[in-house]
Amino acid sequence: MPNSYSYNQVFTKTHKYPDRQAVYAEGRYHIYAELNLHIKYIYQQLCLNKIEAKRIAIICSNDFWTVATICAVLKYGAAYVPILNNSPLERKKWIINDVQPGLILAQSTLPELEKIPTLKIDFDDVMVNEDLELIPQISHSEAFILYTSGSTGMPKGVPVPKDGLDHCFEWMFDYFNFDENDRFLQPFRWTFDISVFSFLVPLSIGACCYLLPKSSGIQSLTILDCLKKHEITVVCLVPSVISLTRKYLPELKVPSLRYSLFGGEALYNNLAQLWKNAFPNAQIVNMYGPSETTIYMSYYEWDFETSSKESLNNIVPLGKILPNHEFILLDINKIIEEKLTTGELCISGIQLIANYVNNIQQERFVELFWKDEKRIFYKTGDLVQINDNGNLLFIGRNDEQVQIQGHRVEVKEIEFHLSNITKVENVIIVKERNEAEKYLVAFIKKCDLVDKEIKNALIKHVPHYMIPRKIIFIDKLPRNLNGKVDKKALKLL
Amino acid sequence: MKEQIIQKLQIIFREVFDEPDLIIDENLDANQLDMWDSLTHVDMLTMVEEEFEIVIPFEKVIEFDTAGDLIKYIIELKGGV
Repeated sequence: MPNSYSYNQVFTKTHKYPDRQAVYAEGRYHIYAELNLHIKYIYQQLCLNKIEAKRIAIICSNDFWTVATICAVLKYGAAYVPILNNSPLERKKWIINDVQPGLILAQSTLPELEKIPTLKIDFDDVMVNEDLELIPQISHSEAFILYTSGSTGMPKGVPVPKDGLDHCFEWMFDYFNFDENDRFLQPFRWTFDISVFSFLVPLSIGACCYLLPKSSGIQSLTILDCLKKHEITVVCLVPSVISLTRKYLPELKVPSLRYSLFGGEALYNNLAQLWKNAFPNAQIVNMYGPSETTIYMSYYEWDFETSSKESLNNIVPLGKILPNHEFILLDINKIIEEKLTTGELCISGIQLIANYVNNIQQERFVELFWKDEKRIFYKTGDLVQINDNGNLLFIGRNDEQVQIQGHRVEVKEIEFHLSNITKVENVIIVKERNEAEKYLVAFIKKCDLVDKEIKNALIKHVPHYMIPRKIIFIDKLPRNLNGKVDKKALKLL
Repeated sequence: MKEQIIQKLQIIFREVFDEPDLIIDENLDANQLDMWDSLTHVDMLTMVEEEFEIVIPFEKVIEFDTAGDLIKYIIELKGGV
């Protein structure tokens, strides 16, 4: 198993830049020498305990410990499975049971998850063998496994291959002009794949990674504040951040930002214009990529003039697919036509995952002909068009998956839990305040529970962003002529 | 004056955060209300600006952690009148 993956150059940089700032977390800087020491310490603990696990779950918080631990697990050769410390206990248990890690790494003991061996690591007394070489001890093809919302009612595990991650990083290093003087902001949960870009790219090139501080305030405003205060030069954000901070953007002129990447949901052209005015030196790049295709799969450089013409329904193009990958557009009748310019985007190539954990939903991976050769394609569920410049344009989804402030949400997962809680029929409707601000409303047949009780029960199973903003009790769910719940009618209520 | 500000804020908070029985105190923050998020936060600040006929710049907005911070700022801006 090679130790030379481009995404895993942290150790090299710790030698090259020992005194440079590596991580800013909880109000202080950690230099590369310190990062090196702690990575080595965790790696040494894994060696001493003769850990043979291919998948290692990490109980993650927004801190330096988590960064060092993820790096150490990657160095060890295993795949890391991030589990958020503050996620609902039921969800933690479900993921642990599904992914079956050989080990859980945590900062404190976790009695509730004790069926899996847990190694408690803290940084109270860090001693390492200076001569220790960080060579992989485990031969394993996966780099990390992230759990996303699942339409079956439960989250599903996406195992991202090391080769795919390496390709994605190689492309990024080639395409973007990042260097060791850059300051990256990491604003995401560790379970969101773009977090891998936000912390591992800077650490692979000797740059500094700023973790978004814990705050009792509002995250989108804190992001804006950090971009300004820390003179961040590279950031990837979900476009909702622009929408949620638009009131304050005209007050800002921040020259330090060089690259402003957007991903996770549709980027609206008018919002990109607002952002550009506040961050005049930033190159805005719209990035697209389902988790199943390893962080990023297409790119589009936004430009004030051209993008206004190219945007479809005010949505900035997804752009072009990364090199060494192919795509096919599948029409709604599943008939492939070579000259089809509108259809479901299907992607093939090295960044594609082989399947989900425990091989669920295999139907998303289909064998199709590409230039007289059979290949496996991933059906993204995204409907796209191709314009005359060869850029992909996003039209919409062909299923019920939605993006809520950048989070991928399957409404069926919420409906599943609501049914179990209330024992009555329910349906989730996505409402829009404007094109960029969506929120969830649950319509539930009248039952014995009040909305607070339902929300309190639901938070035990799903993350906060999947809790409906409103719960509306209704005598009877309206139906259309086919007998299905009439969601259009509910949207108007 | 402070009591009047709190009364007015309470009406705004109850409406924006969909909590009809909410009693606000100075320690109230976003962690205590389900509906207090990025979306509703800006709505709340916009209604505060309209109600008190003030403009709250970004530099100040990011300093607000609690309802008490907001109350203090409004008092400062209105000159304690």
